[in-house]
Amino acid sequence: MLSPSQPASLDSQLFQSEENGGYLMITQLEIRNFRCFKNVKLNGLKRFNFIVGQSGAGKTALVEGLFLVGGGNPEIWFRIRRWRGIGEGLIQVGLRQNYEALFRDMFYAFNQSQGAFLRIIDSVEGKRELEIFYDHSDVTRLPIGDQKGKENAFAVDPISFKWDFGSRVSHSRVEIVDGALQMKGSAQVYPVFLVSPRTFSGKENAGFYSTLSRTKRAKPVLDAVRSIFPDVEDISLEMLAGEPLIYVSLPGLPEKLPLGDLSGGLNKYIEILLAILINPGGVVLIDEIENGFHHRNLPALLRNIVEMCEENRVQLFATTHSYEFLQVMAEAVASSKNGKDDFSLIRLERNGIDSPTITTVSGEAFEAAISEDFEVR
Amino acid sequence: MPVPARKEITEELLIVGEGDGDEAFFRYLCEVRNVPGFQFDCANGISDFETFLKGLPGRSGISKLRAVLIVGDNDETPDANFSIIQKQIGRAKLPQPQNPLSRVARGDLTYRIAVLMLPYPRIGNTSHGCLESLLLPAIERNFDPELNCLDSFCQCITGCGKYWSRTSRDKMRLRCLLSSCHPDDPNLGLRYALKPTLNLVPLDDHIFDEVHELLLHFADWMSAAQHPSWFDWKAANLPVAGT
Repeated sequence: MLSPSQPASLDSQLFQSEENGGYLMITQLEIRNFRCFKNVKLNGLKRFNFIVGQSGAGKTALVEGLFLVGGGNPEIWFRIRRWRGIGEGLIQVGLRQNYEALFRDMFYAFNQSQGAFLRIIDSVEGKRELEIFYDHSDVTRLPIGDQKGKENAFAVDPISFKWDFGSRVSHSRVEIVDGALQMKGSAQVYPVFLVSPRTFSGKENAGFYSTLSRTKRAKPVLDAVRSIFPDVEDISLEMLAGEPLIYVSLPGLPEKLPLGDLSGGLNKYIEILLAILINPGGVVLIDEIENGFHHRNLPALLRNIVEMCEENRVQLFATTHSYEFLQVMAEAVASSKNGKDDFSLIRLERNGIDSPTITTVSGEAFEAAISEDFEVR
Repeated sequence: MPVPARKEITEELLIVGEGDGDEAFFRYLCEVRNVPGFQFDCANGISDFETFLKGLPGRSGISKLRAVLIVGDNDETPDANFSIIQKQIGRAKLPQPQNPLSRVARGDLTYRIAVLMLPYPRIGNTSHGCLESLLLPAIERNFDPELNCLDSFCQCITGCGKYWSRTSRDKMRLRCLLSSCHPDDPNLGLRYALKPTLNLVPLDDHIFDEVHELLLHFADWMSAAQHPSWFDWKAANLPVAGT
C-alpha cells in the first residue's frame, strides 16, 4: 500500500509519457455524480489552469477528482479523506451503513445508487475513465456478532473502482477481509501529483529530493530557491534519527537547519518545485497555491514555477482565492513561451445547493479582465 | 489584500460608457427616475472598449448578463466614432451592430449588444457632440442668471480667434457653468457634479426623456425576437406620444 500522502504518480517511471510522443496534457474533464458535481464537462484546458470560485464552490473537489481519476487503487480515496480530516476509523465491520459511510460523501447529494464517473481526455493516452459503484452482483455477507442470521444487516455490496484507459480496463474493489479493509487490484497510475496544505510530508519530500539528487537533477531546486531566498547557501539531505530529511544551510549558523524549521512559504515552495521536477511530462495539482507566500516574492516565485513547468512539460492546475496572485500570474503567463494561449481560468459558481456551474475562460479574456481590473474570482 | 476595482456582474443589464462621466450620468438618471436592473461601468476612453469587451467573459457573474449597452460620443464625426466602437466589438470577437441602437445577438452568447451614441436625441439640428452636449441644455435651464455671463465669455474667446468644435465648446461651457455654480470646489469633476444631492444637473429635465424611455424599455427591446432596431421596436410596441 502507498504511504498516506504519497502522490498517485510518484512512480512516474511507470508512466513514461515521453515514450508516447511527448507532452501530456489533459484537455477535457467530465465529472458525474461526484462530490458537489452532478454533471459537468470542462473543455479548453491548457498548460496553466487556475481554478477560482467562492469557498464551497467545489475547487478542491475538482482537484480531488483529477487526482482520483489519475490513481490506480481505491486507497487514493482514503488519502483524500485523510487530507480532508476524515479518517477511516469509523468502520465497524458488519454494518453495511458504516461501510457505505466511507464512500457516501463521494457521491453527489449522497446519491450512491448511480455511482460516480470521472473522465479525462489527454493529448497522449486519449481517454482515462474512472467509475465508482457498488457492485451488486457480488454481495459479501459477514456472519459475525449477535446479528448473525439477519441477512440484510450483514450484506455488503463491495464498492468497485473501475479504471478504463482505452486499451486496458482495471477493477479494484474495497473489501472487508478479517475485519479490515482490503483493496485488491490496481491500475497503472497517471502522472498526477497533488500539493495541498494538507499533503505536506518532510519524509516524502526528502525521498523526492534524494531521487533528484541521485540523478543529478536537483540543482534547479537550489537555483530557484536562491532566486527568492538568497540567504540559502545550500540544500542537502541529512539523517535525523535514522530518517533522511531536507536540510538548509544558512549563513551565520553553525549547523544546517531542517527545512521544516524554516518558513511555511519556503517549505511549500520547495514542495512545489519537487512536484514539478519529479514528475516531468505530468500533471501537478496545487490547492490554495498562494498560501504562505509573501506578496513581494510572488512575481519571481511564479515566474520560476511557470518556467519550470515549461522546461519539464508539466501541466499545472492550481486553486486560488487571491486576486493579487492572479494579477501576478497574468504577468507571468504573458511573459511565458506561448503566453496567454497556454492559460485558462476555470471558474466555479454556485447558486444555492445546486451543482456548481463551471466556466473556462481563455487566456486572452483573462488577461483583458485583469487589465480592466475586473473581479474574476 | 488587493481587491479589483470592478466588482462582479450582479445585474442582467450593463451600461458601459466611454468614461466615468457617462457611468455617473446613467447611474444617477436611473436612480432619480427609478429605473431598476442596470449595472454601470465605463471603459477608459473610446479606444478601450475592445479590452473591456474581451475581458467580460472573464468577469465573475457573467452568466447573469443578458444585455450590454455601449455608450460612446459622436464628437464631430458620428459615423467614424460609431465605426471605431463597431470595429472594437468585432475585434473582441462579438457580433457587430451595423448602426447605433441596433441590437445584435449570437447563439453562443448569453447577452445581446447595442450601441448608443451621444448626444441622444440630437440637440438642435445636429448629432455632433457628446455627453456634455446632452447635459448642457438642462444645466443652462437650471442656472439661467449665470448664462448671460457665460455667453459673453464664450463670445469673447471666440472673438479672440480660437476655434471650438461643438464637443469642445460644450465641454468648455459645461465646465464654466459647473465651476461658477459650485464655488466650494470649482474643479468638481463631472462624475461628482452629477450627484443628485448637489442639484447641479437636473436629471428630471425633459431633455433626458428619450434616454429614460430607452432605459425603461431596454430589457424588453433587447430580449425581443423582432425589430432589432430600437426605433422599429419602439414604433411597434410603444404608444406614440399624444395619441
